[in-house]
Amino acid sequence: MTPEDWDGCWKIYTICTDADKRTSTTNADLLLLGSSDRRLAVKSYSTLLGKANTGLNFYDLYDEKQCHEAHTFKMNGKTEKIYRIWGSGDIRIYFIYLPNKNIVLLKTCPKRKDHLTKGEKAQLDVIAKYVFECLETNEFSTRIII
Amino acid sequence: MTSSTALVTTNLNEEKDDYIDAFSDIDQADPFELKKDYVATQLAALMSFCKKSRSDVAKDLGWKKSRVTRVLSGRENLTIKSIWEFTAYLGFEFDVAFRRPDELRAKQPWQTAREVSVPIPAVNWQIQTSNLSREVTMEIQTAKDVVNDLIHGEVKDYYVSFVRNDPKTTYLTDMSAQITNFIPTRLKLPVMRIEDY
Repeated sequence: MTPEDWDGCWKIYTICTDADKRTSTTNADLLLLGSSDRRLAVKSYSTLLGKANTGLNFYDLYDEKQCHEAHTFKMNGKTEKIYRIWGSGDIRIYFIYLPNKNIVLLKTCPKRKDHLTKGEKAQLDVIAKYVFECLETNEFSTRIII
Repeated sequence: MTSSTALVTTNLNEEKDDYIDAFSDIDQADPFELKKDYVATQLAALMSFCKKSRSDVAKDLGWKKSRVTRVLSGRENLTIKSIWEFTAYLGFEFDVAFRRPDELRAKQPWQTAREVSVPIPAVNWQIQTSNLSREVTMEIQTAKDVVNDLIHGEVKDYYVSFVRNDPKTTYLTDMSAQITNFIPTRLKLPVMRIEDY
């Protein structure tokens, strides 16, 4: 699942609680899924990576229904956007864009309905705010595997 | 896996050995489905590169919008005719190029278009060894520059090759130095490239 990296491609990141990839939120999301949904999620990641590898705008690569803004929230007076990809089956991948063609995955889950509940929005807000805060205060650790 | 990775993983708490790597399922993904998806992504990327929309394609090729969606979604088992129609419409040819799984793919137009070479000024150097003293002009060129020179008969007297030692990509530049000597003391929010799984 390692696409051929090049300078212009999107770089996709997940959040980890430590240096072991198994502690990533993405891994945790996958483990919460049933086997059928997990297979669909893996296929959705594969599709996402393929598209990220082109370095082109996701809006052109997915159709509007497949990739769109899912939710916004305010942070330091600025509106930040969380995007959603409709993956295979009912799998939804939530992410944010960061500068320099970086993307951070926030959450992967099956979603039978398009509408996000208050609780789901709040959960996404917390993760996204954490990422933005770390970016502002420069508290990201670097890539662990190079 | 690089040596820095090995360093990090050996520092892990042993209790985490019980953690499950859900990404191990990736290898079980149907390779045919992945290939279909790959072909569709390349077609969508070509369309984007040519500044065309799905509506343009539907209108100009006389396809229903639902067909364009199917073709570009990877759900359809595409015919050669569909691929030919699509690429010819965008002014491109397509080939069937074979390669071993571990070999790199040929670059696509949107990749080569981005490879703008940044000229680095030539520098005059004095090479001095025990039995040689010579004035040379040193110029840094990419492999592509060198090939272009050779094609045009502009062969240089000497070639010295360099390999970049800095990481191919770094997430935040000021942290890049830590990659080669990683000490996990500031691990507030490690981030990891999904591609590295």
